[in-house]
Amino acid sequence: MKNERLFNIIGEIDDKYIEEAVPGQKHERKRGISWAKWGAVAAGAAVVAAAVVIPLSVRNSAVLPNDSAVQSESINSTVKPDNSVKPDTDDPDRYKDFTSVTVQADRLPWDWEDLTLSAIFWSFTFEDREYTISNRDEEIGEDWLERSIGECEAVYTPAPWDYYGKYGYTETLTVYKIKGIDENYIVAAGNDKEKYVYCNKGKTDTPPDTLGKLFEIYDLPSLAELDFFTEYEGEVRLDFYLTEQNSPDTVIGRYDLKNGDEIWRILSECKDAKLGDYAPDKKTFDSEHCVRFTVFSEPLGTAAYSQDIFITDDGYFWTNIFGYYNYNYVYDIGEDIAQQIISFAKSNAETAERRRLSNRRYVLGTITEIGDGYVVIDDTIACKNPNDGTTFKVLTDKTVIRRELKGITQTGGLLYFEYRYKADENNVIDSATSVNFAHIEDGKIWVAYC
Amino acid sequence: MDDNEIIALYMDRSEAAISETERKYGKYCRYIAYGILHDGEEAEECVNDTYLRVWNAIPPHCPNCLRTFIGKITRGLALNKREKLSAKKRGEGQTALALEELGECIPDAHSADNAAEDIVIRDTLNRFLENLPTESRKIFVRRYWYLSSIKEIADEFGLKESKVTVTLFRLRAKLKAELEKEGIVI
Repeated sequence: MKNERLFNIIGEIDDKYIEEAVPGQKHERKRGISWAKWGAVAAGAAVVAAAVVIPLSVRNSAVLPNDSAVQSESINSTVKPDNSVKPDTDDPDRYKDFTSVTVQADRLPWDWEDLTLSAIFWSFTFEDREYTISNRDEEIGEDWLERSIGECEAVYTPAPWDYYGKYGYTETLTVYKIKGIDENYIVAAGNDKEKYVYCNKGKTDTPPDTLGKLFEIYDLPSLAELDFFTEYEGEVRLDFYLTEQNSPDTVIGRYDLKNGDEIWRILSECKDAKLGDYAPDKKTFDSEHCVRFTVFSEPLGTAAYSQDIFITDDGYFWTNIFGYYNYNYVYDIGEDIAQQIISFAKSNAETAERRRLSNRRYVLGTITEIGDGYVVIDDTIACKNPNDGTTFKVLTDKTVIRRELKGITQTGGLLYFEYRYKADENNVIDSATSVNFAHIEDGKIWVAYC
Repeated sequence: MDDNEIIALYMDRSEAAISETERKYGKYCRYIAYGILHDGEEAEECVNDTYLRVWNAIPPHCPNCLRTFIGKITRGLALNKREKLSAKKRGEGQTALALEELGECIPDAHSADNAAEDIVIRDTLNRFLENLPTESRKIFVRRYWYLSSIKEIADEFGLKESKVTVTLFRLRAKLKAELEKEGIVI
């Protein structure tokens, strides 16, 4: 119909403009100085830096093309310099401090061939059980796969609209049992190139009624290493993001832990510990003292970013490692056991230098060579001591890496890679999980996250 | 209930998610739907369809801004529904007027070949909006995204209707100029 084209496109303008104009709000009329312009001037270098660090349209895997996070290129109050987070390469003091910048940039839908398997198939049925993607952003490594247990026909069913016109597209996926996990609960599935963790939410949403049964389903000591904890005193809120930002004054200390297996041994003996009396809308622990173990677990779908196990001194074990939004795994282990665990942890602890935010390694360097399925970067520019500079060959054939670097043909740009496993003896990194563009401005390194 | 709590209900597949969404954003959705459809029953049906779409979308999607996420779905559904209405009904309400106004700005053809051009138009539009004074931008969005009437905009912003009309006229001309710079010409 005539004239509807622009009308339809207007439907896709940035969310902030739609929010700004919500009907029924008061509209103050200012005259004179444009405060928006002064604000931009004050942001100054940050605005310039952000505009430079995003040389390409930033893309994101999208089942929904009109993601509500789409914004125009700008950097405003979302700049979050955090110099307490140091580079986590083998030598944590190798790199200069850098500033991670969260930039809201235009998002274009990926091309179909650049979608990950997890973006296409977020659920499938296998042996009459429905499995749903556990972590769309991270693959599971081959080392975690115990054996193939069959195949399934996964079907692409996008919602709410079929942007790619591929509704009904199918692919045969191989389903695997993951080491240490009952396949009725969590499996891995994929093809030759990619494999992801999928969980049977019909099972995992509801915790078993005793801790003993939980240990029968999951070999927790092998799945979740306990090697870092934070001790709190005071009111600790259970919140979406489960961060200390909610209650910073409650932190007593952060510690690296040795012999964390002993804690699992203690817990494994609490076979009869029953589910705690916890209401879903409860947001705060009753106890005034607890420890929180930060856990990374690839097979439980928390490979890169942590989830938590709390032990409260009034006798509860609580965790969200079975679902970030799942608050139901609370077990009454009793005060004696809780105190035993807390005491053990504290007596086997060393003060940690920094918060544990991720278990990823990373490298930051200038592109010196672009090849088929790899780039070579030189991290001299990022090193505190330039003499430490080294070149790394980073394999880029994974979908999540390849698609970000499409169109890069020139050397000289600065890239930031996160990766899992140490580089080999030839400095080849074959486990990159993400790549971001970086920039140097006035001697400072800025890494852009979108 | 804040948006994060409502999203959590969707994630937990709790049906309370729908009732909470209705409580918080039902009026907003009806405003959008009615502005396009100009029919109470059609608008209500559209809003109900919206809730189903949102239910199916979250998870895996986890919107940063729940209101606009829902609002966009409502607007899209209402526009789709509008196409199925009779010609007479399509001629009613603000939508037909807004369409006429926007017709000055770009050619009307829409096909797969224009998909890339649509992206250029969208980017140009966002830049155009970014560079506008706040009030002008709000007026433009209220008129062409929310389909608010001239009178309603004038009342809410404390302006004369003629002022709103002239403002929109000038904004359309400016937008057309911006699009022409990008090679989008009538």
